[in-house]
Amino acid sequence: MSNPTHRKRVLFVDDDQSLLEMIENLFNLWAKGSWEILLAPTTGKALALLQEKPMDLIVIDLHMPVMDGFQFLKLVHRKYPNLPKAILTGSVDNAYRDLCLANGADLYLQKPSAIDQMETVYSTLNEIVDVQAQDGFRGVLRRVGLQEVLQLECLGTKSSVLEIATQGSKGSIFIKNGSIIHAQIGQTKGEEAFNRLLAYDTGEFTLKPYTEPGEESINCQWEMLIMEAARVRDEIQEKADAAKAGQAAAAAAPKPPPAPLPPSVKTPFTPALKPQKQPNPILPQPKIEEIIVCTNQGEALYEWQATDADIRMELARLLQTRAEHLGKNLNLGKCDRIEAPGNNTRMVFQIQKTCTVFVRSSNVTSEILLAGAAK
Amino acid sequence: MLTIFNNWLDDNSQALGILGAGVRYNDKTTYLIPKENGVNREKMENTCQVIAEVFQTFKLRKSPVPQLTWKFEKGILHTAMRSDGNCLCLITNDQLHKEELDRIFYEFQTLWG
Repeated sequence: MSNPTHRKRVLFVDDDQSLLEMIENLFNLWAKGSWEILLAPTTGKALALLQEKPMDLIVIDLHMPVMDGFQFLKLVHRKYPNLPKAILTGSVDNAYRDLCLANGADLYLQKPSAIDQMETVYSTLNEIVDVQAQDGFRGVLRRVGLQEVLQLECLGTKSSVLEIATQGSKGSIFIKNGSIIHAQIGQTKGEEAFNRLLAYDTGEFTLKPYTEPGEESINCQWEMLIMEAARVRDEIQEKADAAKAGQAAAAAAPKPPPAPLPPSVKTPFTPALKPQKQPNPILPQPKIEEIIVCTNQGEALYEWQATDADIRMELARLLQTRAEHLGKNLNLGKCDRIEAPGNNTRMVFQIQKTCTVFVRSSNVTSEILLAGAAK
Repeated sequence: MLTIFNNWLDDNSQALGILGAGVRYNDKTTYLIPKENGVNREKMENTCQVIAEVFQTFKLRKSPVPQLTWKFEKGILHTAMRSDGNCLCLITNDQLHKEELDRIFYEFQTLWG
């Protein structure tokens, strides 16, 4: 069980004093007292602090004088192999990044260029330390953490392999230059495997240096993949809830005792019903016209063919705030998706914890809309 | 004109799965159908006002949309705005059939008035 009174101790090692101060201020604000933040402007100070107190996470900058971050990472990993380590750096060198991941770093994050993007870094780091507070479940990551790591990898046009172990199964997601190109769990591959991996509530994941997969089973924009995975996950959850409600109702209802069969009558054999897979009608594929990912504060994280990004982000922010208000007012819970179907076109706003994904597509026929609704 | 809409809403808000319904007219008056086990009048009124403002903002930002579907954890808010500014809000659970919903929205958009 988690211990809510346990403050997570996080050590930041960076020779940039102003950045350390900013991190201390912002992360203290977001952590609301759940983090104890320690700052070390030198590796020497960091080593002293590590000997003094046990840490839940260490975050290391790569470019530091005397002993650079990479050497320091190797040293810390040798001495404290179980301590989670993250690299937070301005370097975008993929080779360096692979080297860090292979030498004990659990995460390799790029320093954001804007303060707003810092919150995504905080959320990702918090996922790691949050797990530490759960006794006996070290390495278990909540779904949202996995999704955020995927987003960071794709937004940063990184190449890596996410290995996920969950509920007796092992799977991998291959990211190449910011595109998700392959996913596999057991014999299942492609988008189906990706959706399955993201639907698990708990599991362990490791970010590994990129290796070429045997094949490329996914050819779809990562934003759409994540949105679809979220939809599938919700669907699974809804079915599970409905099944639970059904079982509860059945258990509550008084059951008549089964009438005894006369000895000469045999129970008719009823074959078990296998779930029938619905045939997938071949529909014209909608064309993605525009994608924007922005923070819920209205800062652009990613734009693709955005015609009027400022207006889109203003509308996304408006929808996000109104959805929150309506959810509370109507007691409908959280709103995660707003759709605006139009003439041969469709806009979707997918509202997530820290950001909103906007997608506009064309060639959306009524058949596609109906198929989407049927899902 | 308003009587036509009001009667139409009375007839169409009884379908299984509708937890609340309302129309906000372009003169800012509303006609609301609260439900005993669903959404009350005050909340329906507030919803209609918020939705009308959202549609208006889309229009002002040169991105007009005729329909917005809001998917919440415990229900769906279906909203539409006509070119004359009249706005429909329907709160449903998953018991309302898609065909029925499509018919209601088609009729709302084409209702003479």
